[in-house]
Amino acid sequence: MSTTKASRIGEEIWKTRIDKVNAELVTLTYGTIVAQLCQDYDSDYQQVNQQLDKMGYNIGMRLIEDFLAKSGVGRCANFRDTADMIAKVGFKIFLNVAPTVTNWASDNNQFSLIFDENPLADFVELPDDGRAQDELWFSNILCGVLRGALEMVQMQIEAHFVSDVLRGDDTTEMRVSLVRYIEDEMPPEEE
Amino acid sequence: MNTSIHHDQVGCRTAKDINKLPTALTRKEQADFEHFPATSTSTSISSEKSTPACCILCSASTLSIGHAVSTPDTPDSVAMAVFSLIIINKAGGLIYQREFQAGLRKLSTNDYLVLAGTFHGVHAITRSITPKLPLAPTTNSPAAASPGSNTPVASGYSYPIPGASVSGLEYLETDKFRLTCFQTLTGTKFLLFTDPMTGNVDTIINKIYELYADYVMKNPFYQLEMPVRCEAFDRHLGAWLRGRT
Amino acid sequence: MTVYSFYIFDRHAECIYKRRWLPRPTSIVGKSNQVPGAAPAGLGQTVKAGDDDAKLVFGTVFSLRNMVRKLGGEEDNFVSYNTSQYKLHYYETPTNIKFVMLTDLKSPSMRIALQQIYINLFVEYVVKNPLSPVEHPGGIGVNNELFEESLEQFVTRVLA
Repeated sequence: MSTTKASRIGEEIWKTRIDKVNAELVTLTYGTIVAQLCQDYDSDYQQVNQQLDKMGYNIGMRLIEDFLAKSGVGRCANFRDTADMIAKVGFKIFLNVAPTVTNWASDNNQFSLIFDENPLADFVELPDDGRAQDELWFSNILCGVLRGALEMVQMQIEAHFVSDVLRGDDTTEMRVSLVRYIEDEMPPEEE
Repeated sequence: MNTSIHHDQVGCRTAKDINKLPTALTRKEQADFEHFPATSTSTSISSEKSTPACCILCSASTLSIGHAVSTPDTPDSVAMAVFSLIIINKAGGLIYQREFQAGLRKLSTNDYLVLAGTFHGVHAITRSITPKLPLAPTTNSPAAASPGSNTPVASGYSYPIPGASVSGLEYLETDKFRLTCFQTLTGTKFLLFTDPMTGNVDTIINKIYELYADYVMKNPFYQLEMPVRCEAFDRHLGAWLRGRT
Repeated sequence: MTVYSFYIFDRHAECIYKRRWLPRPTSIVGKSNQVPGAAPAGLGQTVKAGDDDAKLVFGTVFSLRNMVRKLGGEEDNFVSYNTSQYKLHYYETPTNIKFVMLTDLKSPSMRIALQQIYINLFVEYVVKNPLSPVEHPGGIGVNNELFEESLEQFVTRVLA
């Protein structure tokens, strides 16, 4: 599966099978959640990052089924295909963005997603408390979504942001690493 | 990527799903059923959110298309691809394995042994999970046996086809091959792997059984239940299959 | 065609849903099929399938699916098998959810039907139900009214 083919699939599904909803509603809802978490955890941004990741994980585990049901795609042949599938189909149909896949590690088990645009972060300015700029990963929910979704298709991964334009960085970059492929589970032995 | 984001079109589902609260279902479905014939011509996987019954009917139409396409049994031009043959003795041991045409992956001898053993077990289970249909309660004469069935009436159920024997797996289909399993009355299993399109598999497998009876069982030096190493069997089998292709 | 039973197994090899359909009783005399005190008989009558059955069904499809992959390659898919009495249909999602249906021998391929159950019923009414848990130990969240009712309709109206 080539990158262009993945892009075509993403475009097609986006056009024909996706219900659209107002973007401001999404942006404001997500922003409110993050802001509330910051308040609830007393600006302990490590905690906030962690909570966002956890929420994303729970979303990802469900969203993957909708992804598969809508896209009808089968199993990816390798992790490179998986990366294209995430960037060009997954992000496309759920957020209408198609991040660039780049910075592959030599073993093909690690890549970066560069987001030219990020609907979650529109209108956002991080709190000016001297710490949020260094500690809060505003869109961290996305890492959890990928982790949850890929776990359901037998891939244990690790994902984290390494830069964010909200913090004044030049790009928004997420690093995704394959930890291992998960084996089939067997029924528990009975005694 | 210069796809500028449309602010009114982020593909995120929230609002519409609210439509689908459980209580709203039944009447809505009925309504959808009624206007279905006029609206749906699409056979693609429907992602309509709030029309469950419609989806179901759409799938019915894809379904029937599926049948029309997937009956490739054209009796005249039969693609004859016989991939391989496996013979399993009555204890589940592999006694013969031979490949005739490439098409399936080659396994190690040990893997074939494991496969034979596994299949032997699964075969028995496929027989044991045959649906048991409870006999309908006879309202007027409770003690009477169910009419016209010669099945285990005493235990209160019948098999789907009461008159027929209860066998284990006979045919298995995958995207790439078809497995036909013929079990002799003595418990030996012949597993024939063919192309999914191959017709007349039963004829082929019966002929193989005949060849087996002739060149294996009638060979005085063949030890029962042991691996088949009979050159004449190999030769005749190969020649016969070649002759058919 | 007749559907005898239907099972869903999750990625932990647990049976999270099972359902058995009884065929319409044939030996009932006339139209007075009212058994006092019993549920009304008919197509829609269902019972819970035996627990041990589910384990055997899982073992069977799991072994066969592994065998198929071994011989046909990783991309090959186990579709169905027949015995002299019934036909078993199989569909597995990339998330390792397994859908199994037992039908009579006259039944055509149910692969698309099982896929539709996944897409139109399971994803819609189980996965997307925000109140149902992500995993379904013991079948929690699968046996909700919307799913069961739609499945019932699908089997009795569309497949019948």
